[in-house]
Amino acid sequence: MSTTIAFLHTELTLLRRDTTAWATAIALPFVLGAWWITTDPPFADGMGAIVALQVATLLIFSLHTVGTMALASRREQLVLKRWRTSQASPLSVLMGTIGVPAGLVVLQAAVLTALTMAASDTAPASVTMLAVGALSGVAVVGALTFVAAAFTRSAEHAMITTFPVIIVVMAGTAWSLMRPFDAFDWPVLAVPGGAMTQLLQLGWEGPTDGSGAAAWLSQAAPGLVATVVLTALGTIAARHWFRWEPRP
Amino acid sequence: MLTARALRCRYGAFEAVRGIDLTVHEGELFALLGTNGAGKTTTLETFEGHRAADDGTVEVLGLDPRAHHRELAARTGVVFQQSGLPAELTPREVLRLWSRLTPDARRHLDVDEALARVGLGHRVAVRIRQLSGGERRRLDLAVALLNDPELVFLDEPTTGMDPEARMRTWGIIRELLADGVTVVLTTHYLEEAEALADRLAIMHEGRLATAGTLAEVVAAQPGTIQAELPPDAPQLPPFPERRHDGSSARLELRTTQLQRDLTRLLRWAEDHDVELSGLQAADASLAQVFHELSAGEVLAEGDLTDPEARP
Repeated sequence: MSTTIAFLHTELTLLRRDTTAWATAIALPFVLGAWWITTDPPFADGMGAIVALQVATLLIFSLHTVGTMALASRREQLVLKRWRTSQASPLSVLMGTIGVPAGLVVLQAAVLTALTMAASDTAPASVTMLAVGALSGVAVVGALTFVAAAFTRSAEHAMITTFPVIIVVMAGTAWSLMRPFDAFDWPVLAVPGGAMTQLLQLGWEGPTDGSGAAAWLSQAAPGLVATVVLTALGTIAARHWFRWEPRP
Repeated sequence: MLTARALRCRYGAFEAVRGIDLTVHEGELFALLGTNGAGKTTTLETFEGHRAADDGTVEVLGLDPRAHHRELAARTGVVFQQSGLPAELTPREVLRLWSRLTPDARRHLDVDEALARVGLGHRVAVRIRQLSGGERRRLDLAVALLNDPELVFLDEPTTGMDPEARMRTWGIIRELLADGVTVVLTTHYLEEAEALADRLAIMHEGRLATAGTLAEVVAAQPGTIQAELPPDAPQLPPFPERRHDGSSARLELRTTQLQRDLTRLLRWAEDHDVELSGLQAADASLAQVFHELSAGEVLAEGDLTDPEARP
C-alpha cells in the first residue's frame, strides 16, 4: 500500500509538469462537462443523462487517454521496468501509474455533479448510487485502458490506440441514453459505457418501481453484473497481452 | 552468493542463453563479457528476476529470484543497460521515491550524500531530462546503491561516461568491494574488466566460452613471438604454430609455452648466428582472448566459473 501511495505522489508530480496531459485530463473534459449542463445534448433526457455524459467524457479523456499515454510512455522509457526492480508489486506499479487519472475522474465527476445540481436546482435520488455508477465506469474503462496500453508503443501512438475504446464508450453511453434506464437491455449493458449510464441515471432519478432497498437493488443489479463481467474480461485480456518491456 | 545451473532462455525460436553454469562468490566482482547478442543482458535479467529461465535453475543469495523478488529487491541493486527514470523528475525526487519503494532495505543512504557520492551533488534539483547521458548513468548507480545492497548488478554502467566520471565510478565500485558487496558487471570496456574483476567470463552465442581470473583466462590462450628473419636464415626448428610462409621475412609464433619456445628460438639464433630484429614476445591480452573466442566455436561444457567443478 505504501509503495502505491509513493507512486501516486510521483504520478501527480509528473502530471503537474506535463502541460499536454494536464489539458487533456483536466481542462478539456471539465469544459465539455460544464458545457453539457448549459446545452441540450443529444439523447440526454433529464439531469441523470447529463451526468452520464459528463462522466463518460471524463472517462474517455481523463482516464483512458491520459492513462494509456502514461502507461505507454513509462514503458517506452523503461520506467515500469525500473519500478519493478523495487519491492513494489506489479499491481502496485500499475495502480500507482493509473491511480491519478482514475482519481481525477472521481474528483471531477463530484465537482461537475455539484455544478449540475446547482445549475438545475435539482438533486440526485441517491448520491451513493451516483458514486457506484461513476466507479463502475472507472472499473470498466480502467481495465480497457490496460488493454489499449498493451498495444501502444508510445505516448504519440496512444492517439491511435485509444480510439476504439473512445468510440465504444461513446456508443455504449449514447445507446443506453436512447433506452429507458430501467430496461434490462443486456445488449446495451454489454457495451462499455452502457451499464455506467444506466446506473448513473438510476442514481439521479431513483427506481421507477418502488423505493425500498429491494427496488434499488433489482434495478441496479443488471448494471452491476455487466460491470463485473466487463471488468473481469478486460482484466483477463490485459493480463494476457500487457508487457513490461517496450513494444517493438 | 549466486549460481546458475544449465540455464537456458529463449525468445521464441531463438535461444539467447544455451545452458550456462555459473558461480559468483561473495564479495567478488564477477565480469561477464561478450559481443552484442552474446546473452549477457538476458543472463543478468534472469538473475534479477525479470526473466524466467526456460530451463535450468538460478539462485541469488540462496533464493529463487522469481519467487522471492520482493525480498531480493531490498537486498540487491540494479543498474540497467539503459536508464529507466522519469525525465521530468529530479534526481533528489527519484531517490526519495526509491527509498519508499525499498522499505525492507537494511538501511538507506542519505539521499543528498548518495548523489554527492556519484558526483551529482550539484545537480540534485534539476530535471533528469537536463542531465547528460553520463550523469544519468551516475544517477542510475546512485539509485542502485541507495538501499545499501549486498549484491549489485551493473549492466554496462560506465557507457556514455567521460573518463573522469568512469574513474570515479570505478572508485565507487572498489569501495563497494572493500565493504564486502558482491558485484556482477557486464561491460564492453575490456580495460574495465581488467581493472576491476576478480574473475570474469566471456560469453559467445549464449554459452560461456571461458572463465576464471584474468591470469587464468589469458594463460589459456597462446602468447605470440614475433621477429624479422634475415633472407639467408637457415631452417627453423619445428614450432607447434608457426606463421612464416618462407617468402616473407616476418616470423610469427603462437605458443602456450612462451618462455620455452622463446628460449628455443634464441638458442637457435645464437647457434646459427642469426640476428632477430624487432623481436617481441608477449602473453595473450584480454582483447586477443576476447577476439579469438568471439570468432570461434565454443566447445567447453560445465561450470567454468567454479574452479572445483571444472571439467
